[in-house]
Amino acid sequence: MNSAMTGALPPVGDTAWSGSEAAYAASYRDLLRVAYVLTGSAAVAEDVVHDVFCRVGPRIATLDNPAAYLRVAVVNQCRSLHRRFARASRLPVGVDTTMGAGLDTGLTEFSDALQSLPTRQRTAVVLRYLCDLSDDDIAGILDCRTATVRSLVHRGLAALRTQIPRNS
Amino acid sequence: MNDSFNIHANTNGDDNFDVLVRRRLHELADHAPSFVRQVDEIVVAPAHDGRRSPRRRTAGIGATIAALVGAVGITTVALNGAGSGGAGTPNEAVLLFVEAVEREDLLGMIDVVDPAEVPALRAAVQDGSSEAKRVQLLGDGFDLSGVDGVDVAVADLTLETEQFSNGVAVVTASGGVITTAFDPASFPYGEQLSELSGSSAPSTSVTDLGQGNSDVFLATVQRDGRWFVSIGYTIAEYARRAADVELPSGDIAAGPGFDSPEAAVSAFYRSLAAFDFDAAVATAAPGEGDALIAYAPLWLPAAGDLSTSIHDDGYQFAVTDIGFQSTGGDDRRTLEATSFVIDGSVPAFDEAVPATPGGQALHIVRGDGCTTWSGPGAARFISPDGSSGLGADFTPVGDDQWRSCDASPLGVAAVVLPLVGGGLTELPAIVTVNVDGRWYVSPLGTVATSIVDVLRDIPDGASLFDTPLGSIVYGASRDVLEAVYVGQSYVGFAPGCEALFQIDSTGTITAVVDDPTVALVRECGSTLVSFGGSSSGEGSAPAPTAEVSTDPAASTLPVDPQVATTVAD
Repeated sequence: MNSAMTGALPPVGDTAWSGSEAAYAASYRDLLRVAYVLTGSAAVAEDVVHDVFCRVGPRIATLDNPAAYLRVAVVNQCRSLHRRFARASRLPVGVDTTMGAGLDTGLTEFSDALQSLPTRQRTAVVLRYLCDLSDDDIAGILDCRTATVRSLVHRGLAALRTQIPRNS
Repeated sequence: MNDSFNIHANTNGDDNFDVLVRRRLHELADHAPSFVRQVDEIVVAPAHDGRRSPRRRTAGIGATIAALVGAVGITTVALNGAGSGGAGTPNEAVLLFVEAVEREDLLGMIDVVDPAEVPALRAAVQDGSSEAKRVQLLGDGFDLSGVDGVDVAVADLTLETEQFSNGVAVVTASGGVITTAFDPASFPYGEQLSELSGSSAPSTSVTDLGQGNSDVFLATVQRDGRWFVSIGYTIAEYARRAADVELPSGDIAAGPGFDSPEAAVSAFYRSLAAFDFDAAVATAAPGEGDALIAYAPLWLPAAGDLSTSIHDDGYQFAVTDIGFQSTGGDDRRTLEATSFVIDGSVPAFDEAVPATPGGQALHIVRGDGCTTWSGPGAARFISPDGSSGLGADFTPVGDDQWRSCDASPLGVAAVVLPLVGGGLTELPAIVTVNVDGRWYVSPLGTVATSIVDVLRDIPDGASLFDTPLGSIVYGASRDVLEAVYVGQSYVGFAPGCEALFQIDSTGTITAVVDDPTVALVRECGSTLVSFGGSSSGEGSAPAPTAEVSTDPAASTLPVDPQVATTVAD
């Protein structure tokens, strides 16, 4: 049994991480895009991705499909963060100045509308339209039925539709 | 509303909005940080020890069951080797179970639960826990492998075993003391119930098993020479004793199974619609459904008589053209009927009983997320304006034709097609299981899933007060309170209850406020009993409307204020 399985991660650079760095590098950009869109914060997105990487640890190299596994982990971490922020009434919506930096007005409005969606709706919309996942795959990630995914996406789009200016 | 912003427009690609969303998401993602931090720049925080910190002992009967099924969810790998679990005798199985509860040894508990039942519960428990957290009924700190705030201890346990001939034994606790403690401050309530945390002092109850009037027992079943606690047999045996009937005899004969999950569920639906309860039982999976099959002789004759009586009265139904959506893995799949047709007939309203055979035609078609009832028989259940007695909202769409796109308010009760009217808009999801290459209905899985569906249907962020669970959590839901009190004068409530309502300048209740506290609803719900008592004069509330008596939650409200007046006086 390696040390990661017993709960104590080896230091980065240890031979136990062999192969993991490549998997990390290959997935990093895509994971960051998903986390950034889901959390609305560059800093939080980076933290999420790094946190997931550290949690998965050297096992990354042993995964059949590390990209998919890490994406699920990132999505779950974003949802978990959002719940915690929501409970503490300090949702990161609108507080991260990096999100608005460089965005045109339309994209800012879209981002605000996206962040105003309930977490599951936002996640379903992002997984469908950013990650191009099937309803079945999204259902697996959100731990719900395929029909629920369709409902979440439908409601998410409906909510976005009411908030996004027509000329967007 | 502008057509371009019609939220009911197709969102599956027929308009450009989803194209816009896709493009915007990618544009937004392009603004994600482009700097890739190298692996060695990441600080790996010391990982915590994988062992959980010591917790208070799990318990209470409910908590024990929760912990049990929770453990089912997280230790299935251990259970796959069922032959290595169990106990040498029924007594030993129950003792191991109880000892495991006291030790909070979840693997030990699981090790003595019938392995045939575990998979059926696993998914439902995982989903149920997840959904309860999503709707914030439970907090993220709720851990199925150890429930904080609940503590149980069992002392001086004396067991008596009654062994039946079919490999089943009932182990009864004839003596012993169960001490259950509950600390609301430690229980991981969700945000919706956070006000309950610490709202009352810790409590302890002591139950002397030797002093009660009813038996406390667990049924056990023998699998491959080992004994396991069986949830199915325990439920069945409680039901048998409550009905005070003799134990059924004979071997357990499961049905032959079906080639596919769809075939199994179709047969199940068809048999219920035809009142063929024998055939319905025959779809149950062997192992998991053994208790249902074994105890079926207790109630099948009466069900057969009922079936004959219903047929004689003129009720005839048949389900055809069933289309399914299937989810799940290779061995367990959940099927939802996305489309179906029910043709049948019902006796006319004004005909003498028994009704004319053939009755009035009824045609129910489900598709595209909506259900249409038509035919003269439909008017038996749905009034011209679309209201029905069981909660579904229909819209008239033609002569003797109504349409509803709402979810069925009846849940699993809708399985019994002929016994419900007007409220049926969809068929309940059915869980199927593959046993030795054949497909069967999973009875425990189906029931468990139907319960989880109640939570699943609650939207994100919705207050439980606005859902059917409001009746349980708050003592009354918004629908019930508004049905009873909107339009009435605000008279006779206890001080402070005005915070529960919106009241206009004339003193008339116009609505129930958003997000009332649990305490407020519960407090004012209980004081409503005196509502009529002090309001016998002008402005007193009229007798509750008929809707009150149709809602189970109404039991928490005064059934008749005038009667309450008498009591209060």
